[in-house]
Amino acid sequence: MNIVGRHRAQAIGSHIFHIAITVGIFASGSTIAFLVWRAPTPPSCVYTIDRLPDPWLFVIGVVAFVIGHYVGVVLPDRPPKSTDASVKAGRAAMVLVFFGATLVWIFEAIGTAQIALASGAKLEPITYYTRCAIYFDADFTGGWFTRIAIFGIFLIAGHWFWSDALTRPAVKR
Amino acid sequence: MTADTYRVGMAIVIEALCVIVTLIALLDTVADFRGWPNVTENIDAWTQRNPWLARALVLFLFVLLAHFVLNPLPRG
Repeated sequence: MNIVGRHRAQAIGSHIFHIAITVGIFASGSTIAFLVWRAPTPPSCVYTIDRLPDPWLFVIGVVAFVIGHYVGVVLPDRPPKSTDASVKAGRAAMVLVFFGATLVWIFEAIGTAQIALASGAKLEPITYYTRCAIYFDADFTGGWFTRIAIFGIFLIAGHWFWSDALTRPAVKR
Repeated sequence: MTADTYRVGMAIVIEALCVIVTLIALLDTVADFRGWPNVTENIDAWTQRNPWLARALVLFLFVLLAHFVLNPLPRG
């Protein structure tokens, strides 16, 4: 295969990878949400064992954050040149992110106010559900899902927000 | 404590996170098709332009993590 053919194959592979990841994230997240919603015997958020505080979960976050930074040092990005269209898309993305964050904070406000549902039960803040999920994850997976989630979130945070770009030499094009 | 809202509340939280991450992945896909800088590269550029905002965001993330995992659970 010549260089042009190899680049084309790489581009097609990258497109397939991105589409699969996008569909996979939406399908798996929605499936989990549906299964939790329809669970016949939901777990009760009444705690009988002292599973929190757990300082090791915080340590995992710190370690992942540092690793995320050094991933950027070892494998620096080679960004293509921005265009007017990509700048506009970036702005649209920021609007979407803030819109999503607004929805999350509206839910948080409803939970904090403990507004009652039609059944008489009250919604709780996001913290309540997160800590309840951590508690029961210890039963279902031995706490591994919690550890992996914390590691993944802080790996990305370290890669994105502790940028190596300030210290590395500029790439010549 | 109102344990009977676990299913509804947790499903909403999971779906909200799922939609946000899906939108980010979708944007990355569009950037890939069009040959634009991907999400990581865009955020990297933003971090360079706004180092103090990035530090504030990191501080917020760690405060949130500490809030979740370093506080005791209420018993009973």
